[in-house]
Amino acid sequence: MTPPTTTVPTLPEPPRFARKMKLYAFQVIGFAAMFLFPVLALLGVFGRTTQSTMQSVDDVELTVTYSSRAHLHKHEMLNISVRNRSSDTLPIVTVALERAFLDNYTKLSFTPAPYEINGEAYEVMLLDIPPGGTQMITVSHEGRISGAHSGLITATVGSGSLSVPVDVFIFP
Amino acid sequence: METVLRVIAIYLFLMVSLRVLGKREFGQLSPLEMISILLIPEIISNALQLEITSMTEAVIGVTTLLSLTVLTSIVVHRSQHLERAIVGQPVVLAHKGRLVERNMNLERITSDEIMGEVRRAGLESMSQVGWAILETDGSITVIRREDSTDADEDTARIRP
Repeated sequence: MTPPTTTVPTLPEPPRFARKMKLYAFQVIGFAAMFLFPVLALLGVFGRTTQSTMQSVDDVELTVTYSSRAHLHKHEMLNISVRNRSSDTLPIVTVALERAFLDNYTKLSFTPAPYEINGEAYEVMLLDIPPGGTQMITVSHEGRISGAHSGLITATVGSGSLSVPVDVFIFP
Repeated sequence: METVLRVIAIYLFLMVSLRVLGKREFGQLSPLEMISILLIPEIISNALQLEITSMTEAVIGVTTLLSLTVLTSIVVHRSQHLERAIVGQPVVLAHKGRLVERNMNLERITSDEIMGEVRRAGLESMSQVGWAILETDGSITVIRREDSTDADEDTARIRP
């Protein structure tokens, strides 16, 4: 005797059609714009970038390292280094960070602490930089206002001074 | 003030993005699409709260997610093989009044669940069921049997 047949029923095949990619006009534009963001992000357009700018006069070298592209509410560091290129000790170097620029940030923390904060600038004093020596100022901060911001960091030694411009873009 | 502007910006961004995405993605959600859609508020909610994340990051996150959804739907639409691999195929749970136990066990569907759908379709018993199909979106479709008089004869051969 033949055993009963085991049959699992299958559904009727759906009707076939030519599968093509068709988009509405607004979708072509929309998808292009939508794909643009991750592609640009992969290329680093929205990424954080660090820039280092240096200015020097005969005796002093001022280097500022900062995030030229940052995101709102992200912790960032601004490093300022002052190097004594002379053969004598520099007794006092005053570094002024433009206040209008720093007002775009919040949670400011200086090391060393500023000795004066006035309407124009945060002023930090560096003392007794030996010949060939370097002293650092570190400012940690978070972006508070999005957009492009520019400022000036100025080091004053005796009667002379040198300035380094800083240009930052904070993504919203 | 900034919160209001953020909410308006994100609302407009989502409105345009979801409109561009099309109806396909929001009709019957496949598991993959459902996860994508559920992830959007997770990404957006941080951007709505100030001092947590930037809106740029949220926009990048959402556009990446939606781009993947669009790419997947295009790929699935173009290739039947990929459609079967990614979306799956409908599975027959019952045919001509008989349960297909192998498929029920594979899909972990109980007879109670099938009977619930049978009743929702306005039928009283399994003998009235022509097809019970587990669709790719997880729903169960029940089709009334056209000829129920020879039910026993027709289904006697099905031993899954």
